Amino acid sequence: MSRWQYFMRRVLMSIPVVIFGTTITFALIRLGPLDPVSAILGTQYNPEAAEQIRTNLGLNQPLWSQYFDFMYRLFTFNLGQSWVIAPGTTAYELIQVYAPRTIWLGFWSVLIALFVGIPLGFYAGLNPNTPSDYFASFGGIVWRAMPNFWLAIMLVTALSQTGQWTNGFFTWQSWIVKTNVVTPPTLGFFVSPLESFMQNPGEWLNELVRATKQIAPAALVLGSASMGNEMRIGRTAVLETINSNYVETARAKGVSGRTLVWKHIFRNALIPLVPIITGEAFLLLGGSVFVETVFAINGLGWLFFNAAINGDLPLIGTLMYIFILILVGTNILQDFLYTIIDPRVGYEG
Amino acid sequence: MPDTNKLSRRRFLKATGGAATAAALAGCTGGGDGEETTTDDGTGGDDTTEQQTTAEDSGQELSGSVFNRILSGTITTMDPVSATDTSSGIVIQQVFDCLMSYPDGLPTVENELAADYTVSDDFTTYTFQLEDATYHDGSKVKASDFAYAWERLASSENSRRAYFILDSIGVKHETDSEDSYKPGTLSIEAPSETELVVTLDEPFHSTLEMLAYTSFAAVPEGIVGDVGDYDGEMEYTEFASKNPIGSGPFEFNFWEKGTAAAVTKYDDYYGEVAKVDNVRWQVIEDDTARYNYAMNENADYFGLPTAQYDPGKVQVESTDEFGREIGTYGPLRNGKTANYVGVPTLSIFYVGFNMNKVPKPVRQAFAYVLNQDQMVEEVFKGRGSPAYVFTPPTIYPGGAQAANDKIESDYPYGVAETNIQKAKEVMEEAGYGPDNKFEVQWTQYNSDTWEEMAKILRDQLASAHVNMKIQKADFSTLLERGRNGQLEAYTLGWIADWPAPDNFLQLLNPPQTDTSKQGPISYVNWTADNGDAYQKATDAYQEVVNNPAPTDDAQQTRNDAYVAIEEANWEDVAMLNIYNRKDETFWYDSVDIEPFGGMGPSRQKLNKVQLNR
Repeated sequence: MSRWQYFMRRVLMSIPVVIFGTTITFALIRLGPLDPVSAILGTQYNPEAAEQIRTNLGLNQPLWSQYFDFMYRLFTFNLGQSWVIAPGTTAYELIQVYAPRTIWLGFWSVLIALFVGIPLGFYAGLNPNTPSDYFASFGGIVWRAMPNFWLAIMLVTALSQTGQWTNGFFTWQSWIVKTNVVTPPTLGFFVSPLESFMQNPGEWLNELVRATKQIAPAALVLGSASMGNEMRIGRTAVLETINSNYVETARAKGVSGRTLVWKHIFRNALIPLVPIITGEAFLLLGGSVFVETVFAINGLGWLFFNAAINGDLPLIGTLMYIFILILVGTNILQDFLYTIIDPRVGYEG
Repeated sequence: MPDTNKLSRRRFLKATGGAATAAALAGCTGGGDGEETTTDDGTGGDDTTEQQTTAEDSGQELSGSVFNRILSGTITTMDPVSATDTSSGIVIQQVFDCLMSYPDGLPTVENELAADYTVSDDFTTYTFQLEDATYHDGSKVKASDFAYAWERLASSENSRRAYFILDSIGVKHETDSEDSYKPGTLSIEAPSETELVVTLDEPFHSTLEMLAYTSFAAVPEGIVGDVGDYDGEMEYTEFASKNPIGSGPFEFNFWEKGTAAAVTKYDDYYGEVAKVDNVRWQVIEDDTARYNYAMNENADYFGLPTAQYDPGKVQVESTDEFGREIGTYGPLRNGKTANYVGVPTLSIFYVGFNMNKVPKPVRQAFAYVLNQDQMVEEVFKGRGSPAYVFTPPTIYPGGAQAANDKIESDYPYGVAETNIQKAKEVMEEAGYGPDNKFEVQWTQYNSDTWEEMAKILRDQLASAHVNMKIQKADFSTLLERGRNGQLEAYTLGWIADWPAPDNFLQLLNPPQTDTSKQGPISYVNWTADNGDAYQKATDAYQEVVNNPAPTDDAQQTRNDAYVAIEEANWEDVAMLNIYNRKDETFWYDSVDIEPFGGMGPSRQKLNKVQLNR
């Protein structure tokens, strides 16, 4: 089988996964104990009002008809308006508001993990059992071990009080650019980046710095665990590769140190890291309810959680659908990367 | 649900006592976030701040002074007839005006868009003269706008409180063969541009109070096309989220979903023109984040989560005639001292028992061991007052003093004491013992504070042969299970729709607690089989229903009935009263704001607020 056939097969196999996932979503929301009408009306529940809302939302239709309607709308990307979170607003419009922050947060937390975790791991692996290895390894474990919820609260509290603690010498809020410790970053400058950059590069850069600074503490928290993870796995992978026969052969035939590391060790050590990184990237993009809540970022994770507990089917359906598509997409991407990095994948069976 | 129980509107109205189920808004319903069931940060939905720079954080520039506040729940809509949650209500309150209003949230209504009104001798016809007011688009507020706005409330598919006008107030209307409202038949007339005549089916003592709901707000006639022959001047989503037009002291500025919203002073306001240029709300749902936001002085006006609240830092300087404690709180974490107001709001938080599943001795055991005073002090850090009657004391017949006297003389389970011995006796008489414990499932909303209370109760009850299991559920699940009769002991709260005892005591009207029927209003299943005082409560509530008029005689009859219902509840322990919440807000010196009243901070209009920085 060629690697393209292999790849296409993976794409086809993802279709039943998508159908299965969305069906489960529908079943959980509609068959579970969640009642969107209760969520809308709250304690002051009136049967007449509830009946009216039920009819308007189509909840009085037979379940199978609701299901087919749901699936049809899902696959035609037309899920209509949110029921509970923001009635009168389409699910896609809501996602357009909430997603960019989460993607921005996920982007930075992946970057932190990638550009701090992996180099540190490789460095430790290349210099095993030295004090710097111990230092890096120990740091990795500590980062890995600190729970997000603890780290997030500590960081928010600490950053809020930097001014008092340093007697006004250093205040996080006014450092470089003025930002709040909590609340979401403003990402408006991304709407038409080229145009606004050309018009006013200073302002644009200022906005970029502001948005980056605003998201940095949350990204650090969210990326911390993956950073530790990738550091540990990177170190092991390098150690394993460094001791393999072909590296020894290469060294014996006189390959220079730099070529050895970059050409023979680095590429092979990346293989076990790829599924870790793609897996984590999905997790991070899917949002972290907790980190988003503590930093008041109100992103996708927050939206997802609220839509779920309130039984907001159109919204949760759309989100799940998109998450499933992303998950399946990253898996396909991962397989694709494999075929590039590791030529052995795909040729056999 | 059995269809035999499908009540017609009118029959339902009878069954539920004329005004049965008027609901929420006002800082009331749990809406999406369910906060109200168990809120323990004591702020309702609304907190607040300073610097003009915060506006930049949402990418929305506001020019002029900005009064910065916090919303603890997300805003869902700007359409007055569609909003059911506190956060939306707070913003809508600033943008839209009604005929009546609660000034600063005090529980006495005043004229707002109504310049004057008269009531017919039989209390069924109200005639309002309107103020000379304009909408934010410049057009005049006319009587016909109310006819349109209220028709939307009654028949628009976007309306979620149709029963406010059809049942609670009971404006005269026609029904079709299925007993549903026939659109366009409300008895509301506009003989001239400034005169509005409303006819009710029968008298209702809290009509004017109900008209202070933002659901009854004036909107320009024909602005959206969701009722009658109107085409709509704009799309519904445009009105509901981007361009709501009202006649309130502030114009809508922006609403970034899940993030923030702002309103801007309306210069041509017919009343007192706002003193601040803008009010901006940041939506922050997490307690810690809200606290940090406030401590960083990003908000001028805020609440404190119970975890960060220290009762020892409150300095009360005066208590006014409405029971509002006014003073200072400090030092805060950031070293500043904030202004403070603590107000007992018209609310009750209680434990309800599904009487079909929890027998009377067990319920009485709960009542004996529960020490309301201790719970309020230890668990809620004094942010409320212990409740022994279901009606908040300020609106109890005869007032707070009468309530206290009644409790002192008649409360059967011990005031401010934990009586495990009595609980044990009652259980043993019923045949329970160390080897024969009663298992009860306690279901509560996800709240640490309530869980703390549940644990204390559980430990105390263990000695009284009751084995209590604690379970937490999300709000929508909790209510759904309640309505299906699946709960045993559960915690919930109720916040006043209108400031009268019937609004509270409808929850203790036995026929309305039957979960086998459609739409019970509480979930205790009070029947003659499981409660000795069933008949007493049922009869008393019927008295209330039969005497709905706003006259002194009817009032006296109702008052007697209210007390009878409270007694019946004491006897059968359908609901165990825990506490009346105290709402507390804090603000920095840069703000000059009137303390809010018992209807809660969400009812306060902000046109009188001044900033001095």
